[in-house]
Amino acid sequence: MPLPVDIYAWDNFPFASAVFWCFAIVMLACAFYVVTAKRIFHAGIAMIGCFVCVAGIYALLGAHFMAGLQLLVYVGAIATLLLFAVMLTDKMMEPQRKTTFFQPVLGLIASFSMLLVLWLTLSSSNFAAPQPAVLEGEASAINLASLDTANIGLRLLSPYTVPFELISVIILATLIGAAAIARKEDRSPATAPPQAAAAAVPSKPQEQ
Amino acid sequence: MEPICNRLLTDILSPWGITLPTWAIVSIALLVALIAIYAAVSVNALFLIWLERKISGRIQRRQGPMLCGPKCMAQKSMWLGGWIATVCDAVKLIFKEDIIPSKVDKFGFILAPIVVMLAAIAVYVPIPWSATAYHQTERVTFAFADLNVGLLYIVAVPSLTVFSILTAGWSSNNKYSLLGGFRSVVQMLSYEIPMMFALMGPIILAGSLSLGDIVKAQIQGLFGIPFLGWFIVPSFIGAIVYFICSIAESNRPPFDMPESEQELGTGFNTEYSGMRFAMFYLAEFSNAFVVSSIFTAVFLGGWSIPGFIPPAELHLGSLVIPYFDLLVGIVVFSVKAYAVLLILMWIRWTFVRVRPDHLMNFGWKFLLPLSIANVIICTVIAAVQQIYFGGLS
Amino acid sequence: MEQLQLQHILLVAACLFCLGLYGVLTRRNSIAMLMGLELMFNAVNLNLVAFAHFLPHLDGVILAMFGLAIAAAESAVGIAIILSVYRNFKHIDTENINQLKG
Repeated sequence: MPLPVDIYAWDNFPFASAVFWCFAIVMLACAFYVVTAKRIFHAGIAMIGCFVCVAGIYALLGAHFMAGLQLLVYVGAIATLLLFAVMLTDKMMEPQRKTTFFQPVLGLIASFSMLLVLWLTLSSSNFAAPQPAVLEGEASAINLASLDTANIGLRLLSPYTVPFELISVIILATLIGAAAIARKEDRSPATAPPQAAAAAVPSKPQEQ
Repeated sequence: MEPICNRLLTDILSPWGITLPTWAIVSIALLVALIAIYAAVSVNALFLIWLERKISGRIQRRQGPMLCGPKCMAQKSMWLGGWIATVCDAVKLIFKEDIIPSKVDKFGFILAPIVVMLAAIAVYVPIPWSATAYHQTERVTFAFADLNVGLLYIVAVPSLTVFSILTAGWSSNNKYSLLGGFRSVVQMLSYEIPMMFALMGPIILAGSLSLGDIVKAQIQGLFGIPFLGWFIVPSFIGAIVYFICSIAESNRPPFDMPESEQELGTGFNTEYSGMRFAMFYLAEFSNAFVVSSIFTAVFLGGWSIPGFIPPAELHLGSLVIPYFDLLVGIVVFSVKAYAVLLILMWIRWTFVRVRPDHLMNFGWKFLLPLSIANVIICTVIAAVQQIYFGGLS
Repeated sequence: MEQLQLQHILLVAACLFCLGLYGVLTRRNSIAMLMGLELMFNAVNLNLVAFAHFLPHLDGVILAMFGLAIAAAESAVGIAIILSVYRNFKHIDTENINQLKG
């Protein structure tokens, strides 16, 4: 029974493009809410929505490992840290101070001109001819075109060993530094500076 | 599920000469997968709540729910008594009034249970229930989607649970909820790291993040002996560390600091009632089942029985059951997963709740070095396997 | 609708970058500025992964992973500094933190 519509032609419909645009529109809407929300906690929640959409786009582009890392690091660590900071510093009860009129306008002009520059550059570029991946030396064991996890691991170990080790040193330094900056100052007498202890001693005979 | 649904649809429709276009097959497979996952999660969670109440009753030398259900079976039998109790509970919760306290932050308050339920359902996706070789050249894993980064996905999706518990605690505008939310986030974040390292052992042994590949790698056996193939043998420390960390990840006792009734007044759950509370409750039980099924898939060999490979189709005289190995696999997987779940419930009703500072000490100073040691041991075993016995996968 | 092209993804990443830029330039709360900064990081990573898919070359994903790790480290230090500022000034309004000595 022939149908009036040719349903086999719908196989050519670019489903990848449709899914990408769904993710992109939700992501841009969430990002818009992040930069314009009155309550900063709502901005944090919208930011997490943005991150999840970006992870979806990564999965669509075939970088599944990157999508998992995005969820794990951005949503699980960075967003949680930002929300903790919001909870510790948010003053919900204070009246919101009104910003000056010119600051949002200037910000809008600056970011819009940046967007215009980027848009013009991208529209006039020709991305049509892909360069073949140049494989040299021991890298020829990996297929540089496939974004598999095994290839990522091999690539991290052969040409990118030094950045890999440097990243671990950086994260260690960050850990120690952040803990040192953010901890409370210790005011117990055992760790008081020596001048305070010396100043405390002469006051004792006066009390007697 | 998509390749198997594809195969099944073409098998069913080809006698009538109908060939569907690709987009129709993919859409039908996705729809079937969505309905199946939602049905599986709901029915499973309802069954598990009844099971938990029964087992807790038996451990505490009482009978558990006995009065719900038809007189003939439910009220007489000690083992099956009250099996409709959870359904009655669910119906009651649906009909409860939806109370939103006036000073809460409405956006976060309403969003939190939705995201928790989303994460609890989404984490069921890569679980390898079974595998079939019917009309396929090699065994195709039957999961809702056998992702090639399945284990990373399973570790990453509970981050959404972390975020939503934090949001629930903050939005409730209640200091006990906030404390419960903080404690839960801190607990889940501290126990995620030893959990990832504990799962690293089987990843190294199997050479893949995909759960289907991990189960297949356990079939061949270790050092040539098929019965030692289950990854609980070479990665025994990792199995224990993963088990403990998963109890902490799903906020179950003895790690239920965030929802301790005696101290915090149910923690981040305090302001929630009715269907919203039911979503948190169901999500916790779904998480318990997911955690035990991941343990089965990764450490206990999943759907495989050592030494026995079921045939792809079973011939009983003139009756032919196709996809027989699929059904056998699902039964074996369920039996193993429920066994691990029974151990989880047993632990729940046996141990005392852990104090927060003990919890942090235990997680960071004991489990983390242990899991790193497990990674080293598994690497050595994998190297020996690769060099002398030709590798596991 | 046409096939998914590199230019579409780069345009969307540029929009995300400019939204993040607007957030950094306009918001008074320091943590809201950090959120804008995270949006910019994400836009850059999206760019890199898009090139990794369309070229195709693996190095895009590797660079994006390094960027991810650096972003995590940087936000941790940023939050630590903001908490320290909050402890001294009792607020984190960027317009009023204009004295070197608290």
